[in-house]
Amino acid sequence: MSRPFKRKKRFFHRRKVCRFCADKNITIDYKDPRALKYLTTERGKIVPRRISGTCAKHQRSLTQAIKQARAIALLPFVGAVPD
Amino acid sequence: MRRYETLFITDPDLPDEDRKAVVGRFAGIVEGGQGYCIGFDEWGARKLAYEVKKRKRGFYILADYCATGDVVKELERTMRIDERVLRYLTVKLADNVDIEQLKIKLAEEAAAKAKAEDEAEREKARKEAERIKAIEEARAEAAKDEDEPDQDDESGDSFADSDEME
Repeated sequence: MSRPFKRKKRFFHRRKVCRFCADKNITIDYKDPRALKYLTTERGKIVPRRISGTCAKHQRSLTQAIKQARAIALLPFVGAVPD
Repeated sequence: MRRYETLFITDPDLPDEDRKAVVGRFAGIVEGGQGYCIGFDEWGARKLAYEVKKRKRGFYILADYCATGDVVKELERTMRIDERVLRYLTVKLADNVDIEQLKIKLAEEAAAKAKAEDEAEREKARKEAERIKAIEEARAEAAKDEDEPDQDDESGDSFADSDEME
């Protein structure tokens, strides 16, 4: 069975260092929507790890923080962040 | 005792006494359960990211306190029933907190912050004084430059005077 088009395979296209591992002073806090909004897309979706370069541990705490911020109306579920 | 923080949203149009009543009730429940209220941080009215109970703005209050688990349950039950509280979120900050040690640590932190603020004030005052001095010096320089042509005239006059004296 031949596929009509083949998806280009890209390995390891993000060797960037996790920004939270590099600077130990940045804390991931659900109370700070301005810091969190850089890790959500324009639509409000959480940026995947392979794009943002964060490590697994920090991505997990980041996801939890973003979901908590959404629950308390600091970040939207859908749409841009209000200033 | 565990350390929790609860962020809750109240109606922004609520008058101050009502808001204080909500905060007081909250503190009362914590104290009633032998807990310790560390502080209430009122963020003020903010625009909400989405409409909550048909409101676009909300008044955020952050409560920092030490309590046991059942106190938290009671708090959440109260907030759910209370119509003035729109949303709440409780997060556990730390386990096994000793209240006495915590009070000592908080007092130390407050003292250190007060000292740092004093030093910042002194720095600011010193910089102001330096700036004023620099401005005055510049003004003195400018005044001296204006004086120099006058001085030449005066020297001419003195020669004239000395001639007359002789």
